[in-house]
Amino acid sequence: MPADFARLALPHLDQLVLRDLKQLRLNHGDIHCTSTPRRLVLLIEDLAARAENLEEERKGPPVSQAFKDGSPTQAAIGFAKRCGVEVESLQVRETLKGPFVFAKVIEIGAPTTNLLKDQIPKWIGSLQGRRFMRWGSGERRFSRPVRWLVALLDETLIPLCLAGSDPEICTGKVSRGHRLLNDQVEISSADCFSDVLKEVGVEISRKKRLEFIRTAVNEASTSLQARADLPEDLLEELADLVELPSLIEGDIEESFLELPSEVLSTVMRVHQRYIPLYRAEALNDPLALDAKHSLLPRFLCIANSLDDAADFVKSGNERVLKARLADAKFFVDADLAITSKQRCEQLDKVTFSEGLGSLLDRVNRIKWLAKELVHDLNLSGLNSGNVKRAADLCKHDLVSQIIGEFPELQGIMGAKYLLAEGEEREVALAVMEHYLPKGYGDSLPESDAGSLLAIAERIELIISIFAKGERPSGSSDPYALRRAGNGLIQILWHKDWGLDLISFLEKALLYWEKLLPDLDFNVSLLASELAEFLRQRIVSLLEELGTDVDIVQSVAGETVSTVRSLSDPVDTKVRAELLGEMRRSGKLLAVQAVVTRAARLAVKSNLSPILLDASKVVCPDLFEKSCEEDMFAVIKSLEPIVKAADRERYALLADGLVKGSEALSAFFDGEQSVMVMVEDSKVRNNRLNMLGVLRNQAWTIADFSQIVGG
Amino acid sequence: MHFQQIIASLNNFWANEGCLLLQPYDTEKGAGTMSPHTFLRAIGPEPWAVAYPEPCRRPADGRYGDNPNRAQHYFQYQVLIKPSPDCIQEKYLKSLEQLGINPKHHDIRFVEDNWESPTLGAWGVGWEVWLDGMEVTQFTYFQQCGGLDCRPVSIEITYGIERLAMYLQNIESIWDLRWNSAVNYGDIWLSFEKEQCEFNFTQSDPIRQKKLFEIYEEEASNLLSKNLPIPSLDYVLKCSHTFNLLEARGVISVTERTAIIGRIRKLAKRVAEAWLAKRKDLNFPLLQ
Repeated sequence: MPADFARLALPHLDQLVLRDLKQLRLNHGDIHCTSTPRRLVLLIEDLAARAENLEEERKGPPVSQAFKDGSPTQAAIGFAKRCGVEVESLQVRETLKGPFVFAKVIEIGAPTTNLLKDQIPKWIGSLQGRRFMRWGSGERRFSRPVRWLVALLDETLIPLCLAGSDPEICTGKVSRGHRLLNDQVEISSADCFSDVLKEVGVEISRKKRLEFIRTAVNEASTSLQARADLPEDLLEELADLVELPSLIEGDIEESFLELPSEVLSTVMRVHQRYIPLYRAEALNDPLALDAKHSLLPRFLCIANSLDDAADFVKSGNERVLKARLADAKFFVDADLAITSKQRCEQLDKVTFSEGLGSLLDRVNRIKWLAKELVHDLNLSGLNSGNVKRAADLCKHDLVSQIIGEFPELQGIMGAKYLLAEGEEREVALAVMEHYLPKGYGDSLPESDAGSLLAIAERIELIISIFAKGERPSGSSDPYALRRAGNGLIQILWHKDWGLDLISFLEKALLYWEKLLPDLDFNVSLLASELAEFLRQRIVSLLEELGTDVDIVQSVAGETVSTVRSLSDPVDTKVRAELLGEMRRSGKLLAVQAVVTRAARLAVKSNLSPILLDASKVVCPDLFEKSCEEDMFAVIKSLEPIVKAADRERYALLADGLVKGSEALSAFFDGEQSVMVMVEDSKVRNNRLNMLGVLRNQAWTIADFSQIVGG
Repeated sequence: MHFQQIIASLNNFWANEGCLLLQPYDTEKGAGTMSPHTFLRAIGPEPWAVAYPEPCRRPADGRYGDNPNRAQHYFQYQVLIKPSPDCIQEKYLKSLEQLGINPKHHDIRFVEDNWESPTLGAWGVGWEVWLDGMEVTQFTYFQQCGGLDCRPVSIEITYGIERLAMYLQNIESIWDLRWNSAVNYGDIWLSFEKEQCEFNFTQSDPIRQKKLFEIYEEEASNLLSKNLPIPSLDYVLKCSHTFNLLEARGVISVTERTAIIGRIRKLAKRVAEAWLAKRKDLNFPLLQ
């Protein structure tokens, strides 16, 4: 079975079995689900021989109908018969509706074997996994072909067959051992399963195999004064690749440490599932071109072989690694024979995408965007010459040999080559970082130059692909545009960079229109499509961060203009976080209630939604009650806050709304409350305008009508 | 064991298992799967069992004969059995034993590897077989071929003959493999390798190759419109090889790649559908 199948399926199976045994009224002890590469194992301790009886009381006819002159009537006899009890055993009990006849019914629990005969195929059928398959002529689907099935209740075989498997699989007592030792082995009793399998070379406990590997690797690396690079997912995979783990220590020829550590570790970890060993005291420089200071010329390997085979297995694995590394060395040497600048020129010969020119054309567009970003972001301390240089060089490694073989190292190898050629560190680092993040949860670029270049790279991709008329659809996003959009927003958030994406996109589209006149697109239509696409990215990222869905909608939902959500995505995030905090501290409810009421009435006036200044449209002379004065005071106090330009204004505004919420609700509900929709149009409009201004002020934070409750 | 003996041994083994022994198919291709003996026969309900060695061309893998592990032209040994039989893994291990690989002396593992050929619209699930960490065989249960669901399912076993031979002969360079007792692999193939690399990487003309691609594509499409899936497949294979040549010249970006693969896949699907329809018209003769 695939190494990750068991890991993903076992917890599910565990839950399922627990639930079904309860439903079947089968008492049991501990449940153990485990697996090896060739088998799934379910052990249930102290399983009852049969299900518990079910006692149930059923209500029959009223006593008046059930007995006549003390003897049972036909009604009572019929009821007793239906319940399968003697008529004499019927009992009489008082109820709210008078005395009735009751029968105690006992459903006898079925033998466990009978129940499991039906249940086991259901358990097998309900296991889920990725990429299930059919085999032979059968229609059954499973992770890999099912070849045998053992089902025992203590010593007794539970007879059953799996429908749809080819050939048909029926249960037996014969299991299979380690491939190299003993293929067929009889299991006389469920109790001895684990021991019998151990005798034929299989440790069925996944946990024991995992701990064995962890301990063996720790011991070996400690004695070598090394740090084993064994992430938890590799450890789990190793435990799921072997039935009988053993540790093999292999050597790497010293000369291969001239290769970058990322190349060595990718070959070892990803291609071969070996465990690389880092020198315990080493600092790994991501831009270093060799691994002499970071890696040991050793590796660890978890084998699934017999002890006598250790020498063969060691030399075999060393050979494989040697061949793979010789390959990599060949590529790196070939790459170092020419310069990165020469590679950049070769980009001209690689088509980027039909209608969009070559990769060199793409690089030139990235360069233009980077230049514009330098201008718009206006960052202090940024060396714009280095940004330009990095933009020029950012894709050179795409035509290198090593990336042809290790595409996952793009950017990393490019940066190393550049540094080795004497390029400035900042430039090399930016080239490496401009691919980050590679997906959600990946690390983000840290340097300003790298972040800026990463943004330019993503905008180039999104605009170009949209401009040539392709869009990501529900299931298909071959150019990974969504990932690019997410990366763009994440970087802006991470760097706290206020970038007006709306005007930036418009500017870029005008440039694209001039540059690629053959592409058929309309600048303003495409600008709004791109804005909508990025708005959805913000929505999805905010939700990914755990923001409540209604809060997300209130700052970046469909009712919010894209100008509002994209003119500064950092601002949008700040507002979402503020609303989240208000909800947690219990302040959101009051504000939301008042603002929503104000907004609901305010639609009855024609007040511009951007007007924030009450004095122009509200006349205090028309006030009739003190609550109007109070409300006016609140609005006036919020005015300077909403007009400020900094992001702190949102928190202040929120505070102001919270503080004023009492005065505001008094306007609607207090003893001194007013009626808004009065006959006198002057008074009415005055009140409506006041509500409108309040709504507009609150909308600086969010569209409160999207917020559901406090 | 000499290279030619390995092929003979596998022939012998699989013939005893009831496979037809066929010869390589005479069109350039990237893998034994692309031979009509696999690609077409994996489609439809008719049973099939075949074994054949197949030369494969992967222009981008060429290294002018300088690399001990890589060549743009090499051999696969291909087995296809439909429906996939019980105990097939055990049978496969026996075939290794016949080559002199005693499983007890090694670490042989079946590691998940799901195969997919986007150009053929084919995919399957299975394993790569590791012999002491070296991938020597690809083991695939075909689930789809030419975009059609495979019913019944075929099992495909693809041996990398050079790798096995290097292991068996304990030799570190493909070019030093002994083909028989007198002649080395390099004696036969090294000059081919060098010239082909020269062609693949520098002398092939990308503009002409792009034109050829279009001509082959047109030919394949036209043959389909005449309901001739078999010759059409030849031209689909030529498209695929021409695409590989263009890739070796580095003139296709990742983005463009997707589009071209899509074009080839579309043709392969139509070939598969036309083949199945014609077999159906013949009442699936191998079912009888």
